[in-house]
Amino acid sequence: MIMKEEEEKYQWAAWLDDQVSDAELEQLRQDPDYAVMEKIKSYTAALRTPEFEENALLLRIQNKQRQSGKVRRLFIKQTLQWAALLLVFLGLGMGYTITRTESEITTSGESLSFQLPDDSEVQLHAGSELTYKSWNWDSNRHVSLQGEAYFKVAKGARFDVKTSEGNVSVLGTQFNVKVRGNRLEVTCFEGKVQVATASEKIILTPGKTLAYDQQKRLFFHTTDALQPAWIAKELAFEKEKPQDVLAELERHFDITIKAPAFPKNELFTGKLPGDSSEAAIQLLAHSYHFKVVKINDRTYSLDATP
Amino acid sequence: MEDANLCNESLFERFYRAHVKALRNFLLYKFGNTEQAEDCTQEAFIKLWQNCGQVTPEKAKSFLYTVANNLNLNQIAHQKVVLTYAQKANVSSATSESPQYLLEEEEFKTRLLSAIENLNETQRVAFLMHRIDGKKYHEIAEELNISVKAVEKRIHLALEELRKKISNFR
Repeated sequence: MIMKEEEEKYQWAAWLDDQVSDAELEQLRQDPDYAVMEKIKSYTAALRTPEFEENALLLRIQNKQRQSGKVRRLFIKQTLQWAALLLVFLGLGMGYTITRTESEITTSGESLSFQLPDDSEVQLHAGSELTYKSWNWDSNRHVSLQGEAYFKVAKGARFDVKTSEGNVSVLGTQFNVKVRGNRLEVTCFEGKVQVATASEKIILTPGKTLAYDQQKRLFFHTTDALQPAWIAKELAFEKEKPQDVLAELERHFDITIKAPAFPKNELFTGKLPGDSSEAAIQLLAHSYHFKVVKINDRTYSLDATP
Repeated sequence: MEDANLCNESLFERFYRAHVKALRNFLLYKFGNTEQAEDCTQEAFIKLWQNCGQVTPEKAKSFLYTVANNLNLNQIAHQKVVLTYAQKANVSSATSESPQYLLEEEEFKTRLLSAIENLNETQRVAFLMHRIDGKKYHEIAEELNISVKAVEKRIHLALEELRKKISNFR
């Protein structure tokens, strides 16, 4: 049967997808090879591809996800080579576990509360970073700190906080460590804390607070605070340089403060509210007889009043 | 949202499970070689993972097929047997046929397979995506990045070609 090219066009495709009308079907049936076409249709519907290991492939992909570099499938036939490979991976896994360093980081304006592997609690103030290794934690409790953190240490082996300005070691206790620039301030709330700088070692008992600047002792006395002020949304300062106080405000509220030079040696002592940036800046400015200009929600400027 | 993209491992795994079989089959029709098809499948999914931040979930499928299609590999020889017929034959009247008839049917099936193997690549790929994976023409068009009309043309020509090859045998 001869049809015009136009009409016949793609009719078999429509037929294969069961998209032809009865009339069209009748026409196709006239084709002398219709029986062959029918067989092709029904046999190809029974065609299958070989099975493959979907999960094994996913595992290989996931392994590559965690590495970088060129992808190669391994074709290693001998059992011995597999065993060797397995050992290498075990070794790598072990090395990874031992050397892996956990980091907790806060940016300006946020604080973070988390637990160390043994249920010791840490609250990390804004703009701080704490790193530690979780492997063999129970007998090796070391953390490194930049910034400020409040620790509630579970009882156990010696607990060390390493900072650039000195190390703080304890048994089970609660204490706050603040290291900003060259200034280190430690307050003990429970238990005993030992602070070791390059030049001296001092043991703090509950209620004692100790500060150094450039490794020189700034103060060492008793405080009646039961917890660090910042935990209760207050910012407490004692003998701090005004520019350090500004830096703390910038970190805590995630704001920018432009300020003129402060009179030298006029250290700041006092508490500022930790829940309102405007109020905190006003209070601080007032102490130094500056006027506050709010540029926008995130930027303030201090002007010396004439 | 940041976590709605495929960088999320469980979303990625769900996407993988939904698409891996069809992608691997597509590459199998293209190459006629299971190992190469699986290697390419792996490569395509890894590329997707590496770009998970840039590729939205809606675009991921077409990304996958584009990558798979563009992978520049040394063509490995086609394997002899790639496709098989499911155990149960689909011909309805197969139950009470003579041995002579059954033999002829087996021969037909063998000839059909070799005819499919000898189709040109574009026709074979489109034809088998429809027959084996049961995809609609518009899905095939989307994955191959061609028009539905072009898919219909390939399927139509594939059928004509198969008929010609099988009839010539007789």
